[in-house]
Amino acid sequence: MTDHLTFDELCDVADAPTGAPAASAAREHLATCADCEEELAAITALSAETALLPREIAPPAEVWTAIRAELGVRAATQPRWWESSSVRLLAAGLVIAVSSSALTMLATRARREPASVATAVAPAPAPRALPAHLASAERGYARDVEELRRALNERRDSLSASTVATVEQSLRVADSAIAEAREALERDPANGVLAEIFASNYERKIDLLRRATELAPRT
Amino acid sequence: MLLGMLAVALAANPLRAQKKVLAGYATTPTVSVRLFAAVGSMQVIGWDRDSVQVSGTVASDSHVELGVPRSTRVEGLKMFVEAKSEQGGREGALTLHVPRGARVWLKTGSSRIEVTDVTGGLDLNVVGGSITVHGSPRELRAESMDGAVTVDGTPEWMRVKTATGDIVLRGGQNIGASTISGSIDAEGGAVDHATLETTTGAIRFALDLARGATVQMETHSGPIDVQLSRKADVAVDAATVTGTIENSWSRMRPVVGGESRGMTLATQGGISGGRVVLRSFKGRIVLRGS
Repeated sequence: MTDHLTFDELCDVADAPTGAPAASAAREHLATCADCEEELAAITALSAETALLPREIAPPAEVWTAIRAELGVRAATQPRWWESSSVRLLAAGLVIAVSSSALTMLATRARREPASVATAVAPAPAPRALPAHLASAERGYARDVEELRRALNERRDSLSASTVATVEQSLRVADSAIAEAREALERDPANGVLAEIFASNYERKIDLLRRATELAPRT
Repeated sequence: MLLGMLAVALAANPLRAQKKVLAGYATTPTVSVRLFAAVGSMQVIGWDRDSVQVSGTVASDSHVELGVPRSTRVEGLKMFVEAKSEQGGREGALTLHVPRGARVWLKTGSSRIEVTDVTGGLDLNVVGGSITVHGSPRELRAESMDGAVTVDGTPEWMRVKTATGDIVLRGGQNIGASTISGSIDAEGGAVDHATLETTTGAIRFALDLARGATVQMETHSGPIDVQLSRKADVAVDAATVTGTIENSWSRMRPVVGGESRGMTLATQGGISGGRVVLRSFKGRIVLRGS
């Protein structure tokens, strides 16, 4: 028999509830084709295994270390799209994946409860610490800031005074915004809008530091 | 017949303390050109030739490396103009002609960069100068610290970043603009997907929305001013933590939060309509109709 089911058709059968009309024709074929039946069993098994996987996997500490090391190299060599090597692409992919996971986690957890923007800054008797997931995200940002700050300070002398002034002024603006959003988040940690703004303020600060570091000539 | 190396001329001009630069290369239509240029102004022009030409003047004590002539068409070029002093980096002017489909990486100090008619890729980086792009490159990345970035075209993909420089856009398919304290002004074209964000800078959005467009604007404390067509079949989701929302685009009234602080506004759009998300911590959000 040569007219086997395609991979997409097999996936449709695997995903469809038993008895679903859309899959009935395919099931008739499966009843008479051992090859497709075997293929379907493999897909079903794989689907079951992937369903057991956690939705998010925190990156191991050594990955962050490698990313930071790569960021240091990137800041020194200023690569662009045509310079991409497999190592840099891998590092970039990891950066994106880790950043996305962190932001997704930050935003989605904050959204689990209906966010009331209006109550975000309701006066509280005493400021509370950030919840664990936000504090964890902030620690990650703080580490990135620290490393980029260090790299920038090492190359500071090679930047013009006006550039340094612009960067420092912008960093002060970013810090002020982060502090303001953080204070509000302490009072309303479930506010998704605040969590987004808090994360964005950090992202812009980190991006500014990265760009300022890349501006400095290699030594 | 392949164009060979045209000429390289470096002639000192003691009257202006500058020297001339002229070089040309036969290239592929999609050549990648990488140029670090410490000069006062830089012009990049896309032309209908499979060749690259760099010409102009630079400070006389600048170190110039324009590559080695080759007998075959090159796929990549690296060129450097390094100034001995900060002042030297502000002198002179270079014009770079490239095939329209070229990919150009250009980094300068305080230059004014102007790019015209390049449809390939652009990666432009300047510290204190300004960037102006005419035309619609397929891919555009433009970064400046305190210089303004103006894109007078509609790139397919665009990412613009500044620290204090203002950003002016006319739309595109997939655009992103981010600044700390500069402003973002988007007007005069249409957009498919856009993300505009500032920390304290103002955002003004008056682009037409393509079918199914998604637009997100976010600021910490800058004002957001959005102009939408009253006929636009678009869902708006706006929220400010402590600021205010004014809506004259539709009849929907913003909802004031508890403690009389913060506002939200949510409107429903059609199936084919777009979606506009507006977020601010304390910046005022204004929705206008057109």
